[in-house]
Amino acid sequence: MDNKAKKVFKDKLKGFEAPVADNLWASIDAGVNGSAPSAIARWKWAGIVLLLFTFIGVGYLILDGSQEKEILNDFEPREVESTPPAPVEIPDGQQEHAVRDKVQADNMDLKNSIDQSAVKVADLSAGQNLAPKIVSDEPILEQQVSTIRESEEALTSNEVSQVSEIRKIPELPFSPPYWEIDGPELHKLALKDSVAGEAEQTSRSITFKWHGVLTFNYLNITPNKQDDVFFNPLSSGFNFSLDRIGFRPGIEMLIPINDKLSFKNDFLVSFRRYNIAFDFINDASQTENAFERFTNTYSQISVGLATGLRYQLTMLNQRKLDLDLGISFEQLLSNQLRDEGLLDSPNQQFNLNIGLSLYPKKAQRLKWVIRPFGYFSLNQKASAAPANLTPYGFGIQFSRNR
Amino acid sequence: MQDLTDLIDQCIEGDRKAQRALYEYLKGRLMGICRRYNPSQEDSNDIFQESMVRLFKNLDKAREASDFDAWTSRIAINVSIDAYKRRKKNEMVALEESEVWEFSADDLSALEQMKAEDIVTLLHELPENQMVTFNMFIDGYSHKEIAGELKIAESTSRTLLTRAKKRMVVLLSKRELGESAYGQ
Repeated sequence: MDNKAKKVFKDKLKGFEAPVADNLWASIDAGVNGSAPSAIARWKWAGIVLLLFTFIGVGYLILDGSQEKEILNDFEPREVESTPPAPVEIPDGQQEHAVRDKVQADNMDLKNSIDQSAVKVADLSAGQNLAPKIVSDEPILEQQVSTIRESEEALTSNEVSQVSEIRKIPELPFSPPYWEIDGPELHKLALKDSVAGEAEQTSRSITFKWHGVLTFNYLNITPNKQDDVFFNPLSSGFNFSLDRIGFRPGIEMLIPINDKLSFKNDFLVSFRRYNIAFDFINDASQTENAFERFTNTYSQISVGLATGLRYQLTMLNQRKLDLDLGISFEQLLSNQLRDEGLLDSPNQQFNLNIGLSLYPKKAQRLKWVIRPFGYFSLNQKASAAPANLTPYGFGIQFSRNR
Repeated sequence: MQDLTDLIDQCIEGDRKAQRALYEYLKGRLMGICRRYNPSQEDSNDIFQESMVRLFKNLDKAREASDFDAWTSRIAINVSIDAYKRRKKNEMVALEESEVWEFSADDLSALEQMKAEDIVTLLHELPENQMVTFNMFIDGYSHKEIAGELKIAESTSRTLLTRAKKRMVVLLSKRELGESAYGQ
């Protein structure tokens, strides 16, 4: 540049002052005198949204879990309390006699109880021929005493706590087929079993899963119409990048809402690579200009949060098929695409995600969950640069089923 | 205003009032440099903050500097160049232009009549590599220094400067046309 022109610019720009926002001093003061405020302001809202989803999910889970517990408590059979009785001093030589007396007394109670049950069942059967079945011909008392004798060596101490074991020895002398009986009380028992079984099968806990993802990335170019740069729409790679590959490991947190619906939160790191090639004219107003070829390779590294809902669609050949839909926020830590002069790319990306998860069959040895998915950017905009680039993509995610 | 040397000493001792006073003294000019090098206001704010923090943390070195204003400007310029380099690790393919191209007398006359803000707006309309090269040249860097700083060939620096000038003239003529159209 000739000296005169240089001087003109220097003189004009030497004292140039630009307005400064009032809030900047606080950050500078913190940076100089204290810990600098982290540049996570943009993350705040994303964190809030994620936490909101998480809390709603966890809250729902806790509420749902406690309700379920109450139901199960109502239906589950009460176990016989097995608190050991206080030790009783028994004089030597009277051990067997004392135990026999005790067992006899207990057995009388048990027999009465059985008789009452038999009467009850007979009442409920309402005419059906349902006689109680005795498991063994040997009298219950004899069974118990013989068992005591077998374990006599264990009765070296005088503690009658062993007697409580005796109460557990006999099985119920008959198995009433109550699920076949048409009676309100026994219907309840049948329902109990069904609910408990279902609850056992349904896992209602938060699960975390590592996953690895391969992505194939497309770029959408939004030309800035205010700019003089003219992109050749016929040039290869104008509409998308060439080496469009990425890797996106992450950890997924699933919070079940019910048997089919879950909150899905995903913490991810993304590595993307693009090779861009296109023809352009730097100044379209000068028609004599020929197209120039632009080609370069860029990488992006980002961290992000994805949140959404997952719904069990159907069973496909004994495999569970889930649909998920959500939004994600990505903060680019390294973005070589940003403001290349010709190109610009946002450093914060908001994407819409949709995916299908195919689960393995239960008996399958390799228990991989395969999730094809797609995503596209929600924050397309015209940029100050001649073109703004925003990614679209699809990919396939692999995670181990648990 | 207090004597600048005393103010700097107080800042070094951690006096927050002095730091605020020095900030008020420097902010407009340093933000001006940041804006020149960055079309985006958001990026300019980030670079301005980084420049100010770096400046305050290295104030003891300012005592050795013969010209405090030039020293502070250099910090803002360096931070701006570093930010540009971070954004742009892969330099665009170099395009050689052998032609030497200069502003005409009319162009310079038009520039002289423009406000500084308008010239900065004009600079922002250049592709960023041209804008940065142009700014560095105005700020006294030679092509050799620009090439060294931006890790590009010296010829690329020359080409970028030539392109920047050409583009500015086009933008100037468009601006003049717009103004005359508005005048009619």
